[in-house]
Amino acid sequence: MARIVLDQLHKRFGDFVAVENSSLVVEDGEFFVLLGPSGCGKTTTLRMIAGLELPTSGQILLGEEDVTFKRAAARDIAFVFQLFALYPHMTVRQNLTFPLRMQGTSRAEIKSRVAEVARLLRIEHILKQPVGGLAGGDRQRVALGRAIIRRPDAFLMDEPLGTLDAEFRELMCDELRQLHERIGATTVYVTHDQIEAMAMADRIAIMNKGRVLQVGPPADVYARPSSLFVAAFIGSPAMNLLPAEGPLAPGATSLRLGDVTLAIPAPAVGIAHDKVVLGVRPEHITIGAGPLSGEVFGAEYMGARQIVTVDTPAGRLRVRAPNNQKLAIGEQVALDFVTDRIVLFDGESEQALPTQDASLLQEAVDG
Amino acid sequence: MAEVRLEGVTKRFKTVTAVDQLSLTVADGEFVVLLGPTGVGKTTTLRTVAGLERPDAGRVFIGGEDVTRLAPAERDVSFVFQQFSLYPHLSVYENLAFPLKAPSRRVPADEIKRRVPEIARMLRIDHKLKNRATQLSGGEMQRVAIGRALVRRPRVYLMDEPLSSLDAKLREDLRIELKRIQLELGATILYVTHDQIEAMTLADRVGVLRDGQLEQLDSPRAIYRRPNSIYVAQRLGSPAINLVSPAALGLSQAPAGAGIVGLRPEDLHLGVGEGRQARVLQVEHLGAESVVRLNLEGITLQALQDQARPVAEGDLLPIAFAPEALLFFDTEGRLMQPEAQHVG
Repeated sequence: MARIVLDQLHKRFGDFVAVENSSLVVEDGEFFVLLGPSGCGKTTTLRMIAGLELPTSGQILLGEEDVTFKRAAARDIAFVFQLFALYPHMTVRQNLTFPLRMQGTSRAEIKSRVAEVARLLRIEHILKQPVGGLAGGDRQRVALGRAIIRRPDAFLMDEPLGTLDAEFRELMCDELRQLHERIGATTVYVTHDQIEAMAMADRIAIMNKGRVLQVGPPADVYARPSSLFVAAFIGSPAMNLLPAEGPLAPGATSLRLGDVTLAIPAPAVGIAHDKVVLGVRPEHITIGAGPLSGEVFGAEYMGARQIVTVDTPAGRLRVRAPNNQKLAIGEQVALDFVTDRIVLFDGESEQALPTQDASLLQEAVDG
Repeated sequence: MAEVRLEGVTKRFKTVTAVDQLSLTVADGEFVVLLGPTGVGKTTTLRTVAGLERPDAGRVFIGGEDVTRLAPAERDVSFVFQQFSLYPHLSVYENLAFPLKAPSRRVPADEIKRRVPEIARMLRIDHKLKNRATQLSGGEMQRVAIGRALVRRPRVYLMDEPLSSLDAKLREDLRIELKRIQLELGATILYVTHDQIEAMTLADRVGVLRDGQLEQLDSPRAIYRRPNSIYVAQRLGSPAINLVSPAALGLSQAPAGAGIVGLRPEDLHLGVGEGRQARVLQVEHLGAESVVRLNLEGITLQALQDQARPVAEGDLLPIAFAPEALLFFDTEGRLMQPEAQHVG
């Protein structure tokens, strides 16, 4: 297995810059997710790691080796496009062994690897069956098996669960993650689905317009988004982002939001202009008492919780409330924010403001 | 608006029975969502109400009138499909006005002028009325498609996964808008989806389908808290409900005949009380909450935890749950009635 290093990777298609000077390190054995909207450059980045695209400039290291301009076949990498891509006329065993037979692996070696992979994926009982008649989950496992059996240095996966319906996707998410725990292979996984990313990743890189905006463990990226884009992209429902009034002095402890004054975590730097954005997650707003008032627009029951939409003079807010809190449409409610979970952004640069007591906040995040 | 009633509707395609003696009433002004995985018969049911399929047996009533033999156009229903179908050469305004201009409907011109901007405002596309349909984003196009259905005042709206082609953020926004508009119009809506969140958040009542039959029809809260079978319990809730044998949970006094006990992940509490100890296998951070996978003496359980309480892989924690949170199912997978449940 191997560490993957991307150094100042740049890819241009004609006038279009798909990936812009991106640097990343994927650690050995890590499950690393490239996350972003369509067109953000995540798939191009993955294809460059695979060798399916050559970078315009920059360098790619796989382990200690510079593979930047090596052919795809010369890189010890398995690329899983669509997990469903199987040879329909072959049996499960034939599908599994196909990549090995192409490589000229010995019969004895093939036999022992098939046994190992089949046990790992729990498909021993269907090895003789044609893949045509298999249920969705089994087909998915066979396709995975075909990637694993080569024992590559790294797995690259491009939205492998994209075409599945929700119920099945959740199941496969779990299986993929558990498989990763068992074989510990370096995995780079591309998705536009932030829930998938949060659930599976050791670390996430969020991309937009060809640039890597933030890299970190899911919980950190969630709690401390570095920009407005990341704040809005991660989390469901999204972080509430409210326009507030500047300027803001370094160390300020309160902020004007429409007619009300709210306590805020003291920023380490100030904002000279008047565009400040206050970010607060739906679970860090409480309904009951507080300085901000609003009217309930709707309440959505979701079983374990409910999401309440409240219209306030400062804007429309989503609040995560206990599922037994009774709220009627049109009802007037008072809201309060959990002060130390508020994230402030510079509305012009769209970057988050560091807080004065970042260390204390980090502690709150870590528990 | 009007009531929709299905009586013993059966629809077969060759050897497959897609809908099997289904009876269902959607009250006037009610929002009913049919939920189920692919191939369960929900779209066929909807198409039968629309008149796009003719049932092999049973009858369909709209507003008390037997419409089983009527053509789709004679039923006065609006249908929203999964994929938006707009006239690309027309503006948003013209697309919205089109259904009202049909000669058979005879909507007066000033009425059209009033209704189109009103619907556009509700769906927040009023600033795009002059744009061509092709100049819109995917989300805007689907809003126009929904708007085209809503601009008419049919007796019933029928919707087949209208939000499924949208990205997650837009789906969230449109979901709450659609519910609000339904309340404002007092619209009767029969809506089909495989997305449990849509079903729970939109519906007055959710109908869970299984093999062409209605397994349960109830309010979202009732269906979530009191699913009448294991099948229904598994359709709702994310992460999925824990289903284990009563002995595995260490229940000494399970009711007689109980085969399986269900416990929602949010009802499984960690680190409180003196209960049995479970080992944390894995923690998934989902933002506001985490899913904790546990090993309880060889049984895997999932707990949903608020992020405020940190747990780490490898921790050994006592588990706790309230007795009333337990759902007992018999060996056939049916929910046992509370009076039959004598839990100590």
